[in-house]
Amino acid sequence: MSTRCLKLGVFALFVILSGCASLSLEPANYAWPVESVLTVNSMNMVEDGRYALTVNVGPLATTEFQDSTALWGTTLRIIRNTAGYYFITGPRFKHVYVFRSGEGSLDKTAAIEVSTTGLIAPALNQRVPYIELVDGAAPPLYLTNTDLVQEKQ
Amino acid sequence: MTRTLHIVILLCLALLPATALCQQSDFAVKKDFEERHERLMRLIETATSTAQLDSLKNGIEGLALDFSQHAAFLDKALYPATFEQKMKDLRDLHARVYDATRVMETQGTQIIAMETTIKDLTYSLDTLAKERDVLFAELQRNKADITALRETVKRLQAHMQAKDQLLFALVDSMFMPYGRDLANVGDDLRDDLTTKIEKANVLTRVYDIASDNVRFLTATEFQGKDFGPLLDNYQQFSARWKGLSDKMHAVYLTGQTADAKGMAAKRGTSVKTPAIPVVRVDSLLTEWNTALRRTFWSTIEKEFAVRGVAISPFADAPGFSASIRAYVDQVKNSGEDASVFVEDVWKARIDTEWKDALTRESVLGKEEYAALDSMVKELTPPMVDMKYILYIGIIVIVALVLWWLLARKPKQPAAKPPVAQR
Repeated sequence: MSTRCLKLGVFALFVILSGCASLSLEPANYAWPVESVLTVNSMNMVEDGRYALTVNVGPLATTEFQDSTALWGTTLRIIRNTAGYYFITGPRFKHVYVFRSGEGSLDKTAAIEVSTTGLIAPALNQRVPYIELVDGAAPPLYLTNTDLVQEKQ
Repeated sequence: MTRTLHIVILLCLALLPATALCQQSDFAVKKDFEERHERLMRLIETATSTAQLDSLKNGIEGLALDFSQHAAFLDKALYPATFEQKMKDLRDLHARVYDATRVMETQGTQIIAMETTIKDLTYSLDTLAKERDVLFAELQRNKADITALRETVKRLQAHMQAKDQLLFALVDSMFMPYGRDLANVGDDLRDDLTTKIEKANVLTRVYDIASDNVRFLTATEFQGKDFGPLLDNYQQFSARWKGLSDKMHAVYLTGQTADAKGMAAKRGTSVKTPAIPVVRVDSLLTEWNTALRRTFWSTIEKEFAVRGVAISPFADAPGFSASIRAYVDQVKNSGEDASVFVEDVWKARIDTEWKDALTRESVLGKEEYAALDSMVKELTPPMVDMKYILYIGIIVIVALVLWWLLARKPKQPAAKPPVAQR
């Protein structure tokens, strides 16, 4: 009797647990083939037509330049890697900021230092599995969503 | 382990062609391609000679060569377009503009050759206009003299046909060098053509011809046989005018974009349009047609009235058919004498003078005329045609003469009695 009850209990637990298991679709590739170059308006907003992304970059200006208006009228370079992380940087930036999408927000996951003096004319390229950062004549840098991998010799 | 993998990938990237790894932004590649593509498009669209287009062809091939190594990247970056699609668009545009430009260059030569013809035709038309005035004056003078009037009517009719043909020869000469597809003629050539049309007063001349014809219809009385050419003249003119007005619209209206209209509105000027003269000619043609039909049917009606045949009034082909059928039915039912109607009106006038005009498809048509003709002819008992009696008489006489001649054949002389030998 008790063995039978135990079997029924195990079966019921299996049914309940399998119903609660999350559904995951893999693999998924979020990579943008080319970066978006977006101009910051006076409301600190950037808007991308192709990927329908609109975001407030005021806090980014405050973090990087300690001035919420520092980005007005400037251009930001944004690209998304295969894992779905957003990489954002721009001229005079010392970092490439990495974000992931949250509920109505982009949430910073990393700020990768790429220059001690500030970038001059940065550009982000999709080089799966990396994001390539080029800046004028300087050697390109390869980034993951957490770190700078290596400078190309 | 992860670090080793990263290094391997980096080595692979390093082994890619130098251009792929050169410190160039993908965005810059895309932008550069788009800008060069756009610039070439603009240059092709504004090219005015095949020589320019030949050099732009090299530019297209150069663009394809420069970016073919980025084709896979551009396919993604230019989504939903592809690199191949963009290049094909450019090549297609080049081919279209090249064809149009080559045609325009060829047309340019033809246009110069046609200038002289247009001048000659314009001069001839002006001369004819003077003759027309003389003929109309003559028509008024000769109203009392029927023979002279008939002669003048014929000359005036021939004159108007000649003028009509001359005008459309002039129009054909103007349009011919530009080909059939006027919508694709360049702006410069369209302006040239517009100027020529206005300089030669084409619309005014068309209006004058239509106006002369309306005036002619009301200026004199016509006979049945006059109406065939009059109907033909109207039909031909109407068909030619239809073609010409379509061309006029193509020349004047194709070049008028919404922008041009907007700009003209802003400047407070009106956009050049032939709408009003075209409408005037259209309305005059309607008037011409109405006058022609009215004159035609009222003249036929007179044929019956002057001979005392009481037929229901009519103003068009169905009305005429209905009147004749009603009259035939009435005669059949009442048994009255229909000899005047059949012999004097139908056979002597309608069948001889009016048949040509009535059998035209735009009037009664051959079948309907034949049906009416057979109905009318059934009203009189078949009569022996004197012609056949004459033929039979001649045959009988010839037979009698032959018989008499054969009967008169001399008889064989009787055999002589044998002569006794001495």
